[in-house]
Amino acid sequence: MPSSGRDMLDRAALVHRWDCPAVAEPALPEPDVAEVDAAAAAALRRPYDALRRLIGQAAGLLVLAQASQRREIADLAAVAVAREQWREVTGTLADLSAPRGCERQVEHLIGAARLVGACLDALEASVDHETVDVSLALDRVAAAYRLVQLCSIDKLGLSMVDFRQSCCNCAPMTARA
Amino acid sequence: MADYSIWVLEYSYVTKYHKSGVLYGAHNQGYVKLPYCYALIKGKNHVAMVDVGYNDKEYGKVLGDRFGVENWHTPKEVLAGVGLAPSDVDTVFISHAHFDHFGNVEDFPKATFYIQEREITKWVWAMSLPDRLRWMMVAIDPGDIIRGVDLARQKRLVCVDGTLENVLPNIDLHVAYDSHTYGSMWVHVRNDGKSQSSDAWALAGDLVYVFENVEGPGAVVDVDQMYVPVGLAVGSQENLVMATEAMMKSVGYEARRVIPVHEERLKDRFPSRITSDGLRISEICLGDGEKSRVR
Repeated sequence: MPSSGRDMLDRAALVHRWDCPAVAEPALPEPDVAEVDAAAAAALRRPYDALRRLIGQAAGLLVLAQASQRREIADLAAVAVAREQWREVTGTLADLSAPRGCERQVEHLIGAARLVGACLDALEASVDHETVDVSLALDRVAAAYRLVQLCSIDKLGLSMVDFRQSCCNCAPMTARA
Repeated sequence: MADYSIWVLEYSYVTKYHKSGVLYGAHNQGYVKLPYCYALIKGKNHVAMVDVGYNDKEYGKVLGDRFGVENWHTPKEVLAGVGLAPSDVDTVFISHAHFDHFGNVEDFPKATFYIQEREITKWVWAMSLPDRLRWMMVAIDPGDIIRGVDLARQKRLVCVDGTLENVLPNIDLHVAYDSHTYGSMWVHVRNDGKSQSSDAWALAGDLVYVFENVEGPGAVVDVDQMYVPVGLAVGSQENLVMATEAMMKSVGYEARRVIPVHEERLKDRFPSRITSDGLRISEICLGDGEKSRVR
């Protein structure tokens, strides 16, 4: 491809990076929590948390692989653990009946699980080259993060960051005092 | 002779933080103001930061509504207080991966970031644990780690394994494993350029929150003062105390040279001012030829 054409494609890819707010999907409307019974909320929480954690594991492994250029990262036991947990959450989602009002959330979680699997595939493939380049795996895990983030329901405790012991977690205690 | 200027820049704050969070064992002792800050180091043709805060567009509403975090301002607004812009920053030392320290890398487009490898490896481990062990995975946003991948892809993230001397001229990085977090890092600035410096500063990250962590009340064991660890840690109090000892040793046991960025009373020890945005700038030291930003 002539360099000008390649430049154009590069620019097109760079105009909106994966984290650009301009291309972000709007958050899903939070379902009426009063209508989501406790059992249904618990059913949603399990795959949500599993995917949140899998995305964290995958992202950490990608950092280590990319920054260190060590190809043996793909052979770490942590990768096998992530694979096993990915199989578990995929099974959980396959068996899950979407709670009423949460159909889109379940749809997104299924999509995110597919992307996490694809990310792990891409991580393993990335070390087959002379230099480790996790760009493809990064795109997939970033997309998975976006989908899970869209499913967040704060009132049900579905949040990408667990703030309960963080430096700022004082207002609820103040309120109780 | 001093090579570097150091400022602590407040970018937000919590007005009522439970004291037991900053000081181990201080139960039922009320609340303290907890400023959210990052440190800026300027000199030797470098502009470096310790931590980058968090990105309000991701968490501002959650933090504001749920936790009472107030008056967040962008790095552009905050750094303007010392006559700099985020694009001037060439180096960032991430003390640990909590969202309020590692949560805004995208605002520093020209910086190379340093983080301890252990902070990442044990994060991967912690995230693989079941829910009943969830204590060990708090306050880190997977999205920040994803942005870390992107930095690594751009060759702008360096994973440090333990101590790294002279990461910049006369600036060293040290680690406190399994303390506040798994790989918390502190920054040692030897401002006279000597290996056994008599003008050194230790930028503590969250290994020290307040002065009492270094100069705590010691009457209970019949001493004037003793180290009292911070209240919030995934590692051990022992490791926090030993990290405090290492920092104190590095500054010749002069407690004022260990800088806690969450300490509201820095203003009592160092010149400071409040900006038009209602945020404090504390001037820890000035390098040769540098003018004061607080007078």
